[in-house]
Amino acid sequence: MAVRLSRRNLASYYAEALVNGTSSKNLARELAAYLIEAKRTKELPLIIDDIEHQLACRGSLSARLTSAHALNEASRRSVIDLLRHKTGASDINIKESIDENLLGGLKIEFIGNELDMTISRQLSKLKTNYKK
Amino acid sequence: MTAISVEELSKDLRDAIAGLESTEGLEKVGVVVRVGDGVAWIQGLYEASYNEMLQIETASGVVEAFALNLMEDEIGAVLLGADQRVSAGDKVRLKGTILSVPVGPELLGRVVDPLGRPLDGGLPIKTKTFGQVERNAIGVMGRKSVHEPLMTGIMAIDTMFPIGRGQRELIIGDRQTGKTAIAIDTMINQAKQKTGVVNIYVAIGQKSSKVARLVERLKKEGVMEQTIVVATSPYDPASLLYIAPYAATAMGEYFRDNSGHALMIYDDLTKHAVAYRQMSLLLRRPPGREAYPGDVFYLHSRLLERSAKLSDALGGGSLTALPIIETQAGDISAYIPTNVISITDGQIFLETDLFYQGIRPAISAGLSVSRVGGDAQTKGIKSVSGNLKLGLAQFRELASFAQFGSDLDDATKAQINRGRRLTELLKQPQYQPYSIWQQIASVYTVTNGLFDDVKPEKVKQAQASLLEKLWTEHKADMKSLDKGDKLTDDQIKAIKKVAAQIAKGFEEA
Repeated sequence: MAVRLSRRNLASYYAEALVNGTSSKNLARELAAYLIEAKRTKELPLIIDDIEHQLACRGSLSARLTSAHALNEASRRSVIDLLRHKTGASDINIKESIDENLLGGLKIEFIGNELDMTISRQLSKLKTNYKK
Repeated sequence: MTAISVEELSKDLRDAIAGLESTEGLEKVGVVVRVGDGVAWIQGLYEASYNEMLQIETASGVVEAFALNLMEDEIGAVLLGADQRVSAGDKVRLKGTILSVPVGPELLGRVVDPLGRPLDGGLPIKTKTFGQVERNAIGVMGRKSVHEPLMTGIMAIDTMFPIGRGQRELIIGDRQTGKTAIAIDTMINQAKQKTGVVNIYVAIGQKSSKVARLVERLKKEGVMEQTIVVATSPYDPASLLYIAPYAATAMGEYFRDNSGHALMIYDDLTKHAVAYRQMSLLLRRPPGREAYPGDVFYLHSRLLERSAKLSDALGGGSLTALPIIETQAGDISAYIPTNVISITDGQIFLETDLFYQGIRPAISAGLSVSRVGGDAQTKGIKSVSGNLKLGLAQFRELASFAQFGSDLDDATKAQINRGRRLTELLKQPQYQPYSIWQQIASVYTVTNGLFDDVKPEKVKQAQASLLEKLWTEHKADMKSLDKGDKLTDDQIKAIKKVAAQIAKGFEEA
């Protein structure tokens, strides 16, 4: 029986190949074929997260930035500086989105980290502490 | 040695502080992938440590969990709340701490769950300190040999299998043989004799009605003020049953580390092992003998090793443990019983046959032992109970042998007669612990043949009369005897005189 490959190993292989310049389309076909063969297609979102993590370890960071209002260029630059300082990544890619439910402030999510400085989070923390 | 530059050191420290400060607000997060049966599987949280607390944000608030399986792709965490509230996709945060519970004198007189939340309907408990649930046991140099007695008030135990402060003495037996009764009597004795020992009773998966009855009894006996009850019911998640003894030990360690004395009663570790087996199997850990995981020995050894008598340098406090194990059909060679027997410093084995013969407490003199308690026995009790255990074991052997024939020599007959009276003497009703002088006077009387003419079935009545008369007529002598010193000639004379008078009234026809 073939040994089940861990997601971390799969993601590491995929990220290494991407960094080395292998065509992402070829890699995607290869991975898709493996997942279908191994009946592991349900794990796709988790594998993508792991690939993101492995890429970040190799200097290419993807982050999600959510705010209640659109950010200006200076704020965007300071977020990139912060991420560079925290992770040491050379290539930083930010996906921005606006969510009015956050009420104010901003939230940055990247490879298993979260910096939530939104008003909605502060309110939910208050609610939890009040219950205690 | 290279020169140390204070300026450089100061700059490094400032940089480190600045670096740490800027991480404020940055949290490690993961996602629940699967959940069920009290276990959640989490993706992410690559930096989680073993036993670290996690907070799962659910639609109905935060559910706490702790990480037990750190695997390559995911973490297996055991939930401390209802798993129905958690769903796949929920966000999980690392708390950065390991599980701790409130500890301190504020808990005395309260019934709490393993997380220190009140179960008695009283006010929330606010303590000044918290204790870690998982903590390393004290090392060799921090300990002292067990030398102070922990009186149970049960004559059969204090005379034959004495327990010392800091000892681990297992109470083992089938169901309904009086295991919990021994533990409760020991707790009651601490209050009656004013020993200052704090009792911590841990109910692991016990019926709530049983715990309620116990608390009522402890209140009635005036013991509750120096007792903490940590209760879990069969309805609670296995994770709570699993942490209950560790959390209670953290509460006991507070008293031990502050030069106090505490008595832990784990009722019972069989259910604890079963709860751990459930968790381990759900965490997909490989099953071993009787489907228990490979580390089931470590489960109990690391718990019981925390009970200790501390050295004078550490304050001289103590934590004594009375773990309880339930056997099936008297089989003490099963997996968990043998494990705990080998961990503890002795065991009190209760036999079903003795229990139904009316010999209560149903302690088996042959299979019970106390490995370290001898040094802790008071001189007075030691002097009178020297060969009590041997005599009783010999009597039980002779008694069964004598059933086959009636031609016995006088010496054997005398030994059997003495044994019958000793057996009667060691019977003791529940909730009636004896003080030191009562035990010394009673054992001295029977072992020295002063009650040889009393009918065996009247021995208990004769003993009651003896103790009453001794207390009324020789109060000063008995009070000094209660300090635990060896019997003086005056005390012996007093006992002999009163015993002779009492024996006349209960003589065999």
